[in-house]
Parts: sequence; structure tokens; C-alpha cells
Amino acid sequence: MLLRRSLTTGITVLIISTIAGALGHGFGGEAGLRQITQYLVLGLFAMSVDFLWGYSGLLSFGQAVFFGLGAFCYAWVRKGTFAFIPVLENSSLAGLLSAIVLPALLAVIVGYFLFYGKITGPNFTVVTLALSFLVSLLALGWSGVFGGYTGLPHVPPLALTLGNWEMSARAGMTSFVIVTALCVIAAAGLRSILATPFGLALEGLRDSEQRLQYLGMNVAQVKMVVWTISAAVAGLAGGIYSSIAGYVAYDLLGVLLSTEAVVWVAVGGRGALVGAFLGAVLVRAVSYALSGIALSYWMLFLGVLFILVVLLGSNGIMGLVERFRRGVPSATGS
Amino acid sequence: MSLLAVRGVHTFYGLSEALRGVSLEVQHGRICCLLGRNGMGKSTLLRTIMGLTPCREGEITFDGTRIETLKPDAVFNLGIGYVPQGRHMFPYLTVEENLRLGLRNKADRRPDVFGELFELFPILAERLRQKAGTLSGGQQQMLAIARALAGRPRLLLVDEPTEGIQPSIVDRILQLLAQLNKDDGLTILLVEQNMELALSVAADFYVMQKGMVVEGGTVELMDRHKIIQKYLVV
Amino acid sequence: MGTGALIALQGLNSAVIISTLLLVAIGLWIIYGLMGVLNLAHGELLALGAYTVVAAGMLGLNGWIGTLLAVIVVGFIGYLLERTFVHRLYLRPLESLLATWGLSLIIRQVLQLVFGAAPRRVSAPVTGGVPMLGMAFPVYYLVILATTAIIVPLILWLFYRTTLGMKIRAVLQDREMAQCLGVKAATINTYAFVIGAALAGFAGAMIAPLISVEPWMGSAFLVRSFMAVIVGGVGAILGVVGGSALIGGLEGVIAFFGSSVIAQVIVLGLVIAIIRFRPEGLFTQK
Repeated sequence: MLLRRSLTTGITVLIISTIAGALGHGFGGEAGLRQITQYLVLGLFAMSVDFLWGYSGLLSFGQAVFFGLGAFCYAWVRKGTFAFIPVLENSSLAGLLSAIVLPALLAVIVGYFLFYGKITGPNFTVVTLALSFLVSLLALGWSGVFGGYTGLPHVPPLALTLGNWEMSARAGMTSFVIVTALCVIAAAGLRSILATPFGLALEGLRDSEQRLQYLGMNVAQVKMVVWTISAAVAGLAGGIYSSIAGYVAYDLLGVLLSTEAVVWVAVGGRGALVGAFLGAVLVRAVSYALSGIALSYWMLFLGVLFILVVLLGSNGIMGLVERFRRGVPSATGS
Repeated sequence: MSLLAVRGVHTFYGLSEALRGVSLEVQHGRICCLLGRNGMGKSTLLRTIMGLTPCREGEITFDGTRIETLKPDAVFNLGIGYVPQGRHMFPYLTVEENLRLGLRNKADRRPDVFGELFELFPILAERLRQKAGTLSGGQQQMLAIARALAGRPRLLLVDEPTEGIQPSIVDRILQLLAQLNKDDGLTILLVEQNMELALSVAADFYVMQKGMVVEGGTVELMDRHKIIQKYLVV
Repeated sequence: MGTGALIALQGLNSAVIISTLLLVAIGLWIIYGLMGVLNLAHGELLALGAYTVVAAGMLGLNGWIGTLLAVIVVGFIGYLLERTFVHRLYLRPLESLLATWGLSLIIRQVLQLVFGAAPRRVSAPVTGGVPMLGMAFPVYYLVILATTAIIVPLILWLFYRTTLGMKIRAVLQDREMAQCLGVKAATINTYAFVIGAALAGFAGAMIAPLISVEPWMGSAFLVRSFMAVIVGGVGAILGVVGGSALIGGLEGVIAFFGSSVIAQVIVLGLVIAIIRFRPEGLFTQK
């Protein structure tokens, strides 16, 4: 059961990635493929949001803090900022590892205060919003480290060395394959966590915190674990993103990206990792197709999406799929 | 002549049918009690009359006016007072504010506006500035009735007024309802678990079972033994 | 200038920061604390107020008229928003977050399209300074202090002494029972939302001369006023006053020694730490 579920999720992500990649390459050649690869990384980011929101009911408007921090970590390591620490010299692996570890550490610290302080519901959302807002302002002001408005350019792409085998993701196809593989592994991994007893506790958390307490679970602890895992995944996505985009700036930490990720999940459908992944790729692709309009009306586009999601009140694309599968013509509410 | 007439009313909670064609009449100037075990739809009927729970089918007529489609605030303004189960005080409002909300003209600032009520409930006059949430259960029940009376209703709907209240006050509450009926000719529809208590003040009765009215008549001619055996024994 | 004078002046400056914050936070509190809708577009309502003053200035209208217009315009926008979709959001916290955030993005974009992204400057309706401790303390600062000293008691009076305030509190505590006593709950909610929105517009108009007016100016105020509400405690209006005093005061003191961004980050850290140990807020007695 556990294996089958994670396998299905992994394969679905693989199929979506392949189709998206083929379309991107077909329409835009090498550049199109690179574009799609970026969207896939954002899809990975979206899955981290869904893991938190869709499964445990914690709606964060500050997830980009971890994504952005991951992106900066990779950039710092690859640009030799930490070269004085021997382990962290300019290596891709060290870059990605730091992109996972540092955001996770930050999540542990912040989470301790949030969850043991019993900050829940709307208050949790706005505190995370405040966090994202202020961290991005801080990054903007601290230009020596974060590069201010211009950010940090020329971040080197992934380059992995294993013994005699060397691989560099300079070519579009290589990086597409690496990213797809990572997304598949992450999706399957997250899904398998959800199938464990811990995952079942998570669903309990979403449905009724109180029931979980009666069962003798430590709610704050459960939240801490989910929050940290999701931050680590977001950080990893950030690290890969910076290796592909080759450029990081303060807005990767900001509120706009944080909430855009929430829209991806809402459009794709909550509580199904695949939906979040698809939502991210789709929303980004559509807005790119409309780029003439979308660039200057970007916030308008996002804002309308937010309101539509609420007014339509169904669970995004996955909700439609579910309905189709059950053969129910149309039911209101979810 | 009946003041309130309910004909063939159906009400749903979600997909389950809570009232399945209820019909009854409450006569002018009389106390009518509604009997039945828990979960038979008595409270739902009162909520439906008030407009809190939508009436899917059927008619409700109050003094010649059809009210089944009206919102609760319109029902109140026609002169139906409601004392809900569990009293539903506004706990953080003062006793005076709770009473003031019961007025039909809530901006009425005349000093003697509650004069008559204070004669009936002297305790409330003493606690005017206190938060309603700090009153005892019995006092809250008095306040709930006083609040409903403040709007000078022609019909009073009272739901389980003795639930969770100490016995000494239970009697006083029922005597009070009887007195209001006798002195002012107030019409009352009373839902009450305790049949003996209810019948000690009521003139008419109805029995509900599974969302329907199964018996009804005057208390005088009622076959108490049969009713208890058939519908009220758990 | 002596140290004492410097501290006194710093105190006055902090009082101005606190006053502006309080004006914003009370509007947010009315909608959140009383009605349970956390309005993430509250900052944008404030921005709309500020831009109304900008527009009034472009039309050659006096700053006071601009402020009055801001109250009317933003109050009316609040009315439209409540009637069209906010009224569907009561008691649905998740949906209200998503929808009002979407709304805030839309308002920001519209402001940017209409007025451009470049910051605007608004001049205060009164200029000049009062000589104080050897420096000129701007008259407009005194106007802000006086306005807040009038508005806050006025709001308290409205909520705790008028029939409308009584109805609003009744609907909040027991919506169904209030309806059964003849209160039109939907209308009451509209009033409360419009009051909150109009206050945001007013605050925006008052603040406009103090800062640069930008389409995204609202975010900072949303974050700060939310912190004030939550650290003070959602339960009572006095909590908002205390919370604003704490947040504004701390910001003022820390910003005196460093940048205002650092000050805000430190204050957020403190707020999170405070909530960790006093989740119900500092000024709520349980």
C-alpha cells in the first residue's frame, strides 16, 4: 500500500514533467526546456507548501523564506562566501546540503516559538506573512550579503563529481533530467511519509487538533516535524532554483512568492502532492503564455486567481479529477 | 380562534428530515405544551417558527400573517418572543444591555422602560450593570424570559425553561408563566421535558414523535396514562 | 541640547508613531476582533486613503478636504466590498485570508496602474513648527496626536455606549439570538466593516504626509498593526491601545539607534517570543 501510493505519485510527477518538458522543448527549443525546468523546481516548492497546508492544515504565507534562504545558501557556497570553512568550499553537493540544512534549522527555531506558543489558524498565517515580509526587507537592506536590489548574479549551475564521473548541468537537457529525477524522488518520499503512522497523525491534525490531543499525541511536536520537513524541501527547491536561474535576489524570500505558492496549491488542489506540482507548472506556464499581459498585470492575475479559488470553493484540479473518477456529475462544496 | 397555526411543515438538517409534516394550533390566550422525548423535533419546530431553520414545505400562520419565509428579525417584530433552550444570554453584555436588546425599539432610553419587568424580576433590577455571564443559571433563565417579554410579544415560545435549574426556581419559573398567561392573557407555546410540570400550567397539549405530531388535545380530557406509556417512557 | 530634552523629543516622536499605528490597528481590530475576518487588504484600504489625498491634491483640493474624501471614498469602497463578497467570509477564516489577500493584490495593481509605481509626496495640510525644547516640533505631529486622542475614545463610545455598538457586540457573541431579537445581523456586519474601512482610509490620509505614498505601502502597516492587535490581545479594545503603544514605542526606541527595518525585525522577534509565553496577549485578563 505504502509502496504503491508513493510509486503512483512518483510516476504521475514523472509523466507531468515529461509532458511539460516535451511541450516546452517543442515550442521553445532549448530555452523553452530551461523555462519548464524552472517551473518544475517551483512545483517541488509547491509540494512543500501542500505538505504543510494540505495535510496538516497549517497555511503559511511565508514559505518563500525557506525557499529563498535555500537559494541564497547554494549561491553563497558556489560563489565561495563560505570558502573559509573547508567542508563548504565551492561544491554543488555542499551547496545543496546547506540549502536543505539551513532553512530546516531556521524552521526549528521559528517553529519552537510558533507551535509551543499555540499560534494557530489565521494568526499563524499572518505571523508567517510578517516573517516573510520582514526577512525580504532585511535582505534588501543587507546588500553586502544579499546583493540588495540587484541580487547575486552568475550563480554557477550544478556540477557533480563522483569518482571519475563528472556531470555538469550546463546543458538544458541534463538539468531537466536532474530536476525531474529530484522531483520524482521528493514526491515519492513525501508521499511515503504520509502513509506512515506519523502521516496519519497529520491527517488527524488537519481534521481535529483536539482529537489528536486525546490520543496522547503532542500536537506541537507533530507540527514541528511537518514544518521542518516542509522547510527542508522548500530549501532544496530554492537551492536547485538558484543553480538553474543563475541569479538570486531578495524577492525570492518575499511575500509575493510565498502567497503565489499558496495559489499554485489551491489551483492544483490541496492534499494531493501531485495537484500542487501540476498547479505550479500550469499557473506559471499560463502566465508565461500571457506574458505580454501578465508581466504588467501580474498581481492582478494572482489576485483574481485567489478570489476565484475561494468563490468556486472546489478543491482545484484534483477536485475535478476526483469528481470525474467517481462519476458524480457535480456536487457543491468539498 | 388560533393565534399560531402550523400546517404540514417539513424541515431538514442537511439531508436528514427533522420535521416531517408537522401540524398544530396554538389558541389565543392559552398555554399549549409540546411533549415528547429528546430528539423528536420539538426544539426544531420552535426554531422553524422563528425562521432560524428554513421551512422546506408547509405553512406557518401567525395571527393571519404567513411567516414561514420570514427572517428571524421580522418574526420578532411581528410579536413572537423566543426563549431558547440553553438561554443564550449575551454573556459579555450587561444585564441591562441584554434587556435593551429585547426591546422592539432598542434606542428607547426612557428610565421606566423596564418598570413592569422589574416588578416581576426584582433580582434583575439589582444586577443591572453586571455582565450576564456572571449570573447563576436560574437568574439567567429569568433574564432570558424578561428579555423576551421586553418586546411585548403576543406569543411566547419557551424551550425547556427548567433544564439544568435548581428545583426551587423551577416552580417559580412555571408559576410566572402561568401568571403572565392569567393576568395579561399572554399566549405561550411551551416545550418541556417534565410532563407533570408542563401539564400543571398548560391548557392544551401536543405530543411529538420522530418529527411528527402524534397526539393532541386539551389537558382536561387527556389520557395521561396512555400518553406516558406510548410516547414518553424511554 | 541636553539629554533630557533629547529624550523628551524622542518620546514625542514615539507618540506620533504610536498614534498612527493605533489608528490603523483599531480598524483592523474591529473587523478581526469583532467580526472574525482577518482582513489582509486592510493595508491596501489604508493605501487607498493615502492615494485619495494624492488625487485630491492633483485636483487642487485642500488637504483637509482630501482627508474627508478619503474617509468617504474608502468607506464606500468598504461598503461595496462587504456587500459583494466579504459577507460570504464571516466565520470562514481560511477563505477570508485567501480572498482578502487576493483583494489586496488587486488593489495594489490598480493603484500602480492609475498612479504609477513611483513614490508620491503629499504635503501636510498644516505646516510650520512649534518651538519645543529648542527645536521646531511640526504642528502636523500635534494634529495627529490630538486626532488620535479624539478618535480612540470616540470608537470606545461608539462600541460601548450606542445602540449600534450594542447590536454589533450582540451579533458577535450570538448571531442567531441577536436575530431573534430583531437585529438585522447582515446589516450590522456591513456597518462594522464600513466603519473599519473608513478608519483605514482616515489613517491613510493622516499618515500620507509623513511617508512616501506607494502602491505597496500597505504591507508594512498590515504587519505592524496585526502585531499590535495580537500582542495586545484580540479580546478588548484596550488591548489594541496597549499593543500599539508597545510596538510603536519599541520601534521608535530601536530605530533611534539603528535602521527602521532592523527595528521592525527585532520587534517581530519580540512579538513572537511574547506570544510564546502569553498566547492570549499581554493586555487581556483571562
